[in-house]
Amino acid sequence: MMRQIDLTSKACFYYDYSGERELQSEGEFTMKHTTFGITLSYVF
Amino acid sequence: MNISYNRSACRSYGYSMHGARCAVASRIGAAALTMLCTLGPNAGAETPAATADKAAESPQQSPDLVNTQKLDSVSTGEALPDDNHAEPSFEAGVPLRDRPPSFYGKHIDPLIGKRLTVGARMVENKLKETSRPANRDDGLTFLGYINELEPLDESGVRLVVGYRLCPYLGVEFSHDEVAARTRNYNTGLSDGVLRLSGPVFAATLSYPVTDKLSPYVGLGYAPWSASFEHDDWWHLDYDSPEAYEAHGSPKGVLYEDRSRCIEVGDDSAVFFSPSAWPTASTGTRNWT
Repeated sequence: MMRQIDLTSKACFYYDYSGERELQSEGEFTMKHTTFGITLSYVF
Repeated sequence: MNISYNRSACRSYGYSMHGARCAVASRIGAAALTMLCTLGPNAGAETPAATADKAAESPQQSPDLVNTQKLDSVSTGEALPDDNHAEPSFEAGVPLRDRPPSFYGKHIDPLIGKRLTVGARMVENKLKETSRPANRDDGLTFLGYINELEPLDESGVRLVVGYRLCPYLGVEFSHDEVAARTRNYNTGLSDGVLRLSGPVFAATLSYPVTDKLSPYVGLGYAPWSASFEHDDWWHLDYDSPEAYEAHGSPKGVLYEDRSRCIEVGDDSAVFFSPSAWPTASTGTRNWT
């Protein structure tokens, strides 16, 4: 089988001063990926 | 004419019987035995010794008479009892078809028989974008100084469960994940590991070309959750892993008064399996 899933994870980086957050930057990680696979299945 | 086919039967005529006649009878008997063995699955178990034992248990028939009857049936073209069409039965004497179905056979097998599949899938995941320009100021990186993703755990084995609704339409459920270690262009160091994982639902449309070959296409949905596993030195705001080790790698102890964190968001996507990959089936096993 083959499939392609297009996922993007929004991300932010911040400093944490004892619970008080200070945002430093924002961005995103593109996690688009292709999967190749072979399956062995048992048929009931 | 009574002709016996085994040696014991020959002996029953006595040693006065002519030797040649006994040899012919033995050949005919052997041929008859071969024919009987090919008539049914149970006939193969009918050895001359067993026949003689059976006959010995029955006082009405002598071994000679039993053997003679079988031989006469063959030689005269009469139909022998067909063991292939005999009622399958157990010791209790109740034919299998007359027995009440078990709970599994009555309620579960009609739902899952030839429909439900459970398997193991060996996967190889390839990230499409693993690097970006080393330019934080123009916002070209992934995040801050992170401009590279180093794929992790690209290969693995996943559990796959499928259910065929009809010969052409099925559904499938599995679980998968992708992970990558982040890399900063300013120091070459890593902050941690980004991991996305979750279920994969898919509907498959197939067309069985033959009994054992069924190409298919799939349409699916993957609602995955994301997490970021910080490296301790980076999270606790040390300058480098070496500096963290130099301080004894203290757990949960900040270098200064702050910690560094990266938060990542979940995502979901609809996907399409663009290729028609064959499903090769061999009995109770499927390869896809």
